[in-house]
Amino acid sequence: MDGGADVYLLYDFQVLLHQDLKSGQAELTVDIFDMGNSEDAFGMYAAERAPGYNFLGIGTEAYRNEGILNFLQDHYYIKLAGFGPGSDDLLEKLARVLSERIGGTQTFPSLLKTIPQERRVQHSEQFTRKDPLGHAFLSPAYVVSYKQGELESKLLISVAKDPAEAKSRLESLVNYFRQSGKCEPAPDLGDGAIRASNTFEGYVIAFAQGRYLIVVVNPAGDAATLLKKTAQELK
Amino acid sequence: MKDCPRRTFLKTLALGGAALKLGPFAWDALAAASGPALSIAHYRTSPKELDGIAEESQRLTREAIAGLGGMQRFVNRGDIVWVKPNIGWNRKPEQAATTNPDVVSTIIALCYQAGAKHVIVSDNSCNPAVTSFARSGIQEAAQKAGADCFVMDDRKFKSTKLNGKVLPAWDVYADALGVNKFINVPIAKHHGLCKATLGIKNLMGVVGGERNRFHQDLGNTLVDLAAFFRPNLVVLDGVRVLTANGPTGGNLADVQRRDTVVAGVDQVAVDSFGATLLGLKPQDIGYIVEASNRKLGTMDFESLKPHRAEL
Repeated sequence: MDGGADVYLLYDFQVLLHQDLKSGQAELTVDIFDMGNSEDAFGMYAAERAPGYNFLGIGTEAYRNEGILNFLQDHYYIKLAGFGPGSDDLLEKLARVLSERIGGTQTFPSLLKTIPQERRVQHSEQFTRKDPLGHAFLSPAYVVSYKQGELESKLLISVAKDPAEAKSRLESLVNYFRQSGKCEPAPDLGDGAIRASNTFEGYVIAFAQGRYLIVVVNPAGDAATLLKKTAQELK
Repeated sequence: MKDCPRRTFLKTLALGGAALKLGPFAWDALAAASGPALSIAHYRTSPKELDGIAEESQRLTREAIAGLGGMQRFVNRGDIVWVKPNIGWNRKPEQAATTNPDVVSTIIALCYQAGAKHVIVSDNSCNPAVTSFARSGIQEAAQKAGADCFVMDDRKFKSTKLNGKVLPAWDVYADALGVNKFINVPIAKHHGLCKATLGIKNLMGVVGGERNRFHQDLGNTLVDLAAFFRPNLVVLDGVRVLTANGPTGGNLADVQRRDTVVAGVDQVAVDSFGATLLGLKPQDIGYIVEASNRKLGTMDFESLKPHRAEL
């Protein structure tokens, strides 16, 4: 995959099943990536997805464009490509057949269901295994975009092993901002919460809740409410 | 040499000595050193129909090369030329994972007009080569233009001394070393590992072996290739560019039009300009920085005062 493999390896890629198919003049290729678990499958699927894509209801989620149809289901990431007359119709039919045969779960990671839906940018959710926002100590993390008018914030939920590690990640964040910019306590946001800024990340607010470090980057509008609501849901 | 003035003799000796350090296509790289180093051609409109895009691609390619002084600056009568597009992927031209076939066919035509004896087009594809060559449209376009376009034979990769910083030697396609001129014809694409794949990265298609090992140190391995091959000419296809999910691509939503073709003799400058087509700065891309540090060219492409054409 000429360097394209590294992202798959990052998400603990296990096995690839590849098949070429032909029907009349249409040629199809099927690539089924077994990512080992549904969280990593979601991570890989979401890494290649963008909010503006044309989504459809196959598996957990699918998107298509001329000549391609990719979807997520259980611990698999499935990529279909088609060429030739009639291939686009065949892609959807094939995807549905595969989805039925794969079975398993058709749900997103449970954490994504708990965080606020209001003002969330649909299909922006990502699961990042490596260096979220460029910081290794935040790995792994879910990142979701929220929009208020023209202003967009990013909600990052860094998933630690336990509350002690989450607090340790918060300290690392504090130290980073103290060295690169400003950081001060924000008791109005919660016990141990911070407000920070530097010229690179801009403004952030952050709070540790249980085994999660919750960060809002570029907090806009009622980002404080977003932070608090997220913390409440993750309790 | 008997009647040659001493000064001329010493100058020729010095140039020859320098040429020996420059790689397999050195002599004519020196001959091509006189004249503009960079030429950028841009289309004011962005045709939607395939015929319109084809015409645009052909015109941009001709104009970009004309801006350097024409193909006759690079190709001499009787030359055997290797034209190296990106034919890496089982993708259609519209998916912008492979070089635009109209850019490739125009280059082939210009080579023959300049007197080339034979033009070869090939690439060491990542996807199955037979389907990639066909689906990219390059095989048909190249053959129509009179080039010999073939899938590489694994037996023809030969261990070759590169004397690189990290690659002392590597398997290089033997036929590519037997030609007089080498024209690198990449397409500008996002790349998941190194941010962008442009001309220098495109050189991976002339080598074999365990190329996955390159990815452990792309900053140095690619530049070792660049230092070895030093193409006579680089023509970067920026008509359509892949802005996400490269190098494989596939989703048309990730393709954007830039309606640009850039040609140059400075492979670092070409790649540096190419980075901007993807919304990046050359300083963002490790192998471009390394190539610049090793003095293979300049990241400051504006300093070359590029020839610009708006069509």
